[in-house]
Amino acid sequence: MAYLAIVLRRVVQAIGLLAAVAILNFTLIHLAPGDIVSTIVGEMGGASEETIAELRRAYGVDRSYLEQLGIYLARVAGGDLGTSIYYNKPVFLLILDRVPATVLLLLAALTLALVAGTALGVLAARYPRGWFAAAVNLVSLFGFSAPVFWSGLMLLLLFASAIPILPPGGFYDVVAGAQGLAKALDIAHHLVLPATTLALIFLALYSRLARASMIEVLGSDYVRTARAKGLPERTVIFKHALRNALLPVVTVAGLQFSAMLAGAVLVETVFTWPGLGQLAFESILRRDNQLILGILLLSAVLVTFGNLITDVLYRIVDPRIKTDG
Amino acid sequence: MTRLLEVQDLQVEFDTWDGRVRVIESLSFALAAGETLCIVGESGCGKSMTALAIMGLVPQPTGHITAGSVRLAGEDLVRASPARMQAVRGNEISMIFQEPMTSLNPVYPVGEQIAEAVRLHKGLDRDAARSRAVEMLRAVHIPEPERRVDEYPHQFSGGMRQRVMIAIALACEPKILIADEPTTALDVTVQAQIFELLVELRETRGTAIVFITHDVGAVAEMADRVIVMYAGRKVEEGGVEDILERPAHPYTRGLLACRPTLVLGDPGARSELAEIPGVVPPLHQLGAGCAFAPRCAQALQRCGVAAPPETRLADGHAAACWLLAPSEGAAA
Ligand SMILES: Nc1ncnc2c1ncn2[C@@H]1O[C@H](COP(=O)(O)OP(=O)(O)OP(=O)(O)O)[C@@H](O)[C@H]1O
Ligand code: SF4
Ligand SMILES: [Mg+2]
Repeated sequence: MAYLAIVLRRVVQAIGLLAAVAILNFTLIHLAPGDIVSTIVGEMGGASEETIAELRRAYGVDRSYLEQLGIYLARVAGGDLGTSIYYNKPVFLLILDRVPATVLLLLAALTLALVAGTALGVLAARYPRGWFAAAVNLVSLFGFSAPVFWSGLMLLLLFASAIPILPPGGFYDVVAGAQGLAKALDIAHHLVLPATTLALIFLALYSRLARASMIEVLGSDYVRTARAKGLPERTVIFKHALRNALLPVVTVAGLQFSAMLAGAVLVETVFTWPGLGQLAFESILRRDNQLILGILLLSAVLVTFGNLITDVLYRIVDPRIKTDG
Repeated sequence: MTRLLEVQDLQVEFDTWDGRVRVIESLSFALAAGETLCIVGESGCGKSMTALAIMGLVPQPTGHITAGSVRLAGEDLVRASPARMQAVRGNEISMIFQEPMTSLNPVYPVGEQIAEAVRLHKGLDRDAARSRAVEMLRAVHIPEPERRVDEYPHQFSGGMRQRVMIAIALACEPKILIADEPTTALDVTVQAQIFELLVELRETRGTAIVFITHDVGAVAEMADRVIVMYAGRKVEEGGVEDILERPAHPYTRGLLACRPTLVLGDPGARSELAEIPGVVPPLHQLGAGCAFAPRCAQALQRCGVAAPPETRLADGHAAACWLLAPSEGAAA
């Protein structure tokens, strides 16, 4: 099937892209001043020339850049992401441990931003002259321009401190030690603030996009046709207009997926959400290079995967894109 | 003559940056069952707006029907509830548009776009509505209707899309079809095919048609009666022979004088008519007199002062021009 061939081609492209990203990551880390050995020696409070040389040999940093790159790529291709010097555990396991929290956060934020953003945008488009449209505009502008750490802290102050109805951080309540459904609910409770903070930035973007797109679609000839058929307004809006108006929103949501991942790093740090972002932030401070490389590579995988999903979704929503691209 | 549709003193206004603009002014005409009425006139004279006003689809929120009535078998649609208008649209009165390329929804198969109207108005279930869609595609001569019913608009040419629009419009067997320049955007050969199709469907179904066009050739072929519009007003009305052979209003005469270009569908003919100098004035700058006065070679003193009354010339033939007004006729 042509469709399957396209997906396959996309996967091959994605692998090529990931290899390029891996090389770039490695090179950047390699170019950064200092390496594992200097970090270890720093921790030790200094060491002799021989010890340093021995450590450099042991960690393989005495070899040339190309040799190290080759070794790294071969290792990664074989599925080995190395060992974290801080945790002294395989990078893969450390990451695996954190992936669920990040994916949960991303999905919650994405869903919230898409659903709420589209709903607000559609309402604002439907009643373009009312106070509601003005309010949506204002909130959008605010959400769009306020930095994450600021809006995050404000929400934190408001809902965890001033009106303490939500937990200030963490993944779940370790002390309570709930299990099963109770634990799931507890996690959801902890998820509200970080997901809302992350969603807020994108909500602004999506609602403005949905509004503009909906206004355009409502003025289109095929919406006039739908009305001329005598369809009720509800059908005109939700069946004929919305699906078309969603096209640019879906596209941008896909393109923005990497930005959302980047935003997650900040949000996780603000709310001590035990995800990849927090881990990345900490490993950078600790110069835990293998772990950083692993996380970077995995983020690239996530983004590529996100784009792949967008692509498939887009094809479902828009029948005009069938075999090209 | 039984009056299926009766438009009386219709007035449509728009809120614009230049203030309120009257795009339709005291327009009256009637349509009998099974009859074809052509509305002709230059671009911007209010033909589409007349059609939209009948459908209750004057663009919101800037457009308003500020006076007059549109009676369908006696019922005033201007004052009908939104729910009632929904039951009328696509069911008792249907409309096809000037823009076949963009009038179908790109994300739904054409069959669904026909079927949804039938499900809505006739209460058919999915299977029955789908069969109806196939049947309608066949009726408008789309080859392989069983296969094409599931295809999307982008898989159809402009002419084929207009056929699909006609199928949608006629699927519920409306009493009235409003065709707003259905061929303007199409190739000349395709135009002829669409005319043929409309003539055929009119014969087989007895649908009354309001046919809006620039094309005097199409008028000769389709019309029973004709109204000529200028700057939102009706300037002349009559049977097709009255208009084509005994045009009375200077504007109608001018329109007919440039018939060849109009027949060829030359887009140049839309902006400036060969025989009438100048263009339609901006509507908000119209004065009290005859709207055509600035371009009229025969304009009298009083033409710029007061709007000419409609003068009955023969049975069913009338025109609004001072030259034809009883007391003035001799003077001219
Ligand atoms: N949304 C609007 N706001 C203000 N004026 C409008 C609007 N839509 C149409 N008009 C005006 O109404 C008048 C009639 O327009 P209409 O579309 O009915 O013309 P038409 O006779 O169908 O022309 P064409 O042959 O180009 O289709 C024009 O002068 C146009 O400028
Ligand atoms: S009323 Fe006067 S200006 Fe108008 S068409 Fe007749 S003669 Fe010309
Ligand atoms: Mg028009």
